[in-house]
Amino acid sequence: MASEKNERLINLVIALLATKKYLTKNQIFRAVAGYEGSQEATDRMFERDKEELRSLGIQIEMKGIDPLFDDEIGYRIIPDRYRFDLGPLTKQEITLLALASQAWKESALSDLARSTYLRLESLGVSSDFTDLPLTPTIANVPENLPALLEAIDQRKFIEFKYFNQEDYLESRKVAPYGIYSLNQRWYLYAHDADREDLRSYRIDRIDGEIKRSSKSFDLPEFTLPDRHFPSIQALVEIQRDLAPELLSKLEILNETDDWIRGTVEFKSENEAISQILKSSPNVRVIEPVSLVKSVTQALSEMVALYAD
Amino acid sequence: MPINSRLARLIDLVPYISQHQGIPISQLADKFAISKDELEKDLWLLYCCGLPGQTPLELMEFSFEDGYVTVRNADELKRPRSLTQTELATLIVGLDLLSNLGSKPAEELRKKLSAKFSGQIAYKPDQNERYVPEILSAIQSNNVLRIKYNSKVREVIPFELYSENGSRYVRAYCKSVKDRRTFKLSRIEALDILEGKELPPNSVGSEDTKFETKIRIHRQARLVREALGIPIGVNTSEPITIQYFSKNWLLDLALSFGGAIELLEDRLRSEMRERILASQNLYLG
Repeated sequence: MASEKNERLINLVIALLATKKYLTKNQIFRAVAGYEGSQEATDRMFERDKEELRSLGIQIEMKGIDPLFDDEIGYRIIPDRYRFDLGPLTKQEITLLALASQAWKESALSDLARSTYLRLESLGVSSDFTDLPLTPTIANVPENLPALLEAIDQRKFIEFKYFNQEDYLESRKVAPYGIYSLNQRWYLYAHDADREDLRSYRIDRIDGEIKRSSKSFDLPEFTLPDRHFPSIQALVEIQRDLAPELLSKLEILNETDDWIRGTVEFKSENEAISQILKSSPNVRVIEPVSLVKSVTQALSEMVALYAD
Repeated sequence: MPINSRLARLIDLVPYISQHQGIPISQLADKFAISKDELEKDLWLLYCCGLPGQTPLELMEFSFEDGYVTVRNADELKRPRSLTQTELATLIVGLDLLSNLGSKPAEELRKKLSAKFSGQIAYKPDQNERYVPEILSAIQSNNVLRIKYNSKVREVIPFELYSENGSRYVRAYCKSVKDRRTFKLSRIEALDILEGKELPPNSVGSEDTKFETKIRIHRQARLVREALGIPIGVNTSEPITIQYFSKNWLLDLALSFGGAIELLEDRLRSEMRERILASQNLYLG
């Protein structure tokens, strides 16, 4: 059954690619084997086939073919749109694209990457695929990345469950705008319909399936964020040899036998607090005052916690 | 709709064979990551496809009985199909990775591709990605690396590169301590590949031992779960048992979380108390 369906789909693609004029549904059903049953059943079958081809990037064009009435629709696939075409590509560019696809080879998208790679090899541009240099791979690719990309492309609202700060699952309904990575994490940039605000969601904090709604949205102009929090500069003193992680980031100002004083840049205030606590008591923060206050507060809290 | 990957493969086979006429059947199967049997099933299916009418004149013509695959009469499908939006996105991200490694042409090519992509996607490998190509190639060819780590120079034989909690690590045999060690990539300050090849000794030193202890989570449960690798669904409102390799690592972690987590074991509590009081002393007076 499955192979009959694939056979029908391939014959459909060939017929629609070969035709110079738009074919009506009934012409298609007569020409392509496998469309059997009532009109309603074959219509449904055709709609599903169209969807299935669309998910492979094969677009069936539709057009009214009766000049007087527009209820007779014709279908065809325009060869120029069917074909892999990124404009003229040099040998070097094809090699780069092959490398770019290889970067996904150990991820949830490895099948897709392989297909892309094989199609690049099928372009007929002589390029050396046998000796590609070893490429790094994309790290931490979330499994639901394809579903999100699809929703972004379709401009459809999505719904998913998201772990909040206290680790409870909450439902979110968002218009997905784009995807970006920051510090080795993948984020979805989206407009939250309930909070009426733009938010970034860490994709690995989404639990379970991403449901796509049929409701579409308009995509406004926007820029993907390249940071989440303002970075913070701190003046610190660290004990020589005892806080290597901080030392490697330190801009040294002056030093004694035991202590080194200098400035460090942290990605955010929270990051600064946790890094300083982590290396305590081998580090002391001197400025800014707000950071000193946060650190001493955390220490007092811990004194109480470990009092007995 | 989920991708019908067999259909994708069937359609992709035609242009691939057209460009590689006479390719050995086993090589073609390897390329498409399927078995020879699966490939033959695919070819038989394609054999029956063609233009409407489907007389031998209209069908695509495959030959593969002699172990070499050729195709004729496949004009419609002989050019590869266009990229989907998802595929475009993966290529853009791959190019981001390459341009971050310093490839100018990759940057130019990215512009070309993003013009065709309907959404926005951006990938920025960070410090962790430094040295990844060098380490991979050293693992593959058994090279020794000289690294500067925490201001000390060591010679190591790397054997595994992995990611955890968003950081990259390399497992290696360290020649100076004659034992296996794990190095965080973001903390490697310099790296050179040395001449000559060497294999890490097979059984070295002690196996890593794990310890168990109980902790209580007071707040920021999501971050704590992620940092400690606690599985989703564990009830974090009760004390939970966690595993750790090194006591100092655990104490550092507990301190970095402020009061969000609490170690419950007496032995660890007294060490925590010492560190906290010593830290507090720095800010007195």
